[in-house]
Amino acid sequence: MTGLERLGTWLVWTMAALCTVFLLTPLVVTSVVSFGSSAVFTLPPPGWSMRWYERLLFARGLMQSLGTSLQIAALSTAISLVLGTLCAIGLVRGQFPGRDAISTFLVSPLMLPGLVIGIAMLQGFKVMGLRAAWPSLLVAHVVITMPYVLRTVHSALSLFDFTMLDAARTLGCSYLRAVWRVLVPALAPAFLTSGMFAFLASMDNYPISIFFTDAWTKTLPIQMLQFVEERPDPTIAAISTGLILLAVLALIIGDRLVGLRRLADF
Amino acid sequence: LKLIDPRLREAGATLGASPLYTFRHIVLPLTLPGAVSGIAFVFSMSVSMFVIPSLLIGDRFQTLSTLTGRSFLLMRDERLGSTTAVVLLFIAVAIVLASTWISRRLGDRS
Repeated sequence: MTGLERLGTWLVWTMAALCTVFLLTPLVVTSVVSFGSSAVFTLPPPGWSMRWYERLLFARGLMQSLGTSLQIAALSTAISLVLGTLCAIGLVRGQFPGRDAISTFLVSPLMLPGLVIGIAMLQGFKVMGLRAAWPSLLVAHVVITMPYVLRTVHSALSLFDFTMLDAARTLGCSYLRAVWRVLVPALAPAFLTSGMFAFLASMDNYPISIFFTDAWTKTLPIQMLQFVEERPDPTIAAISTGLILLAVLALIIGDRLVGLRRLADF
Repeated sequence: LKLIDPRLREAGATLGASPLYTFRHIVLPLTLPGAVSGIAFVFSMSVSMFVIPSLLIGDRFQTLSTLTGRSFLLMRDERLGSTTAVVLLFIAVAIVLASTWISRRLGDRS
């Protein structure tokens, strides 16, 4: 190894270490504060306690908004998985003009500013007469989670050999059975990764959800930010630690089932 | 970077190129399209950030997206909000189109 290469390796490792420290510090601080006994954010905490976690259960609206968020996230992920897969099949198999344009358009919510999408849908729903908070939240979340599914399943499908379906059928499978036994297993990793990302994106979304909440229907991020403004105590650190754990759990499950390397490629 | 054939670098080395020369004339031109789309992605992410700026800087400064959000959510000024939203949308679309065009040109050249 030449001196230059050694210098390069050293530089890269230092940079990577510094980036990791920079990214992890806020998460570690949040978790530590959530187990502290002090009511203000002090480091190191004067003592340890679980009181902020107990308070989570009784904080006004927090558990209810967690329920709303979980429902919206689960349902919108499920709808996105179905719709996104159907769109991907149509886009991969179909031969029609404007295919690329449609695919870019469907994925565009990933690239466009969330606020702009939120405002556009707010005014669109108003024109259509959709005013109820829950259904508009659901539709909005389907719009923002579907790109994750479409993108991943699209790239998985372009590697899939569709003649395998024909092969299964010549071997005596019915069409549905062929889809279920051949196509679905081939797409399973794509379903898993994209479903996971879609779920987390929906749980985390603020700039779009904010336009569709009312006094009774609030998603978790909205309720959390409201909480921060009203009374910033470590209860918020406790719920944040819970969310960090959720993300870590998702990563571990993803790693077990498809491998972190493939998740990172996504 | 992963898609670059490692034999290209070896070929450069056997032809007497130093690592820096290989980087400048082989690796860099091949990765530039990816770098351009990365830059565009980061730019459009940060130009449209809403939650983090409003938590970090509060009311002291405004970015285009916090102004947009604020005018809808606090000031109830839909005209101002819609106008800034269109400006934001224009910036985002322009970035995407420009970066696609630039990386295609760079890809053609190398």
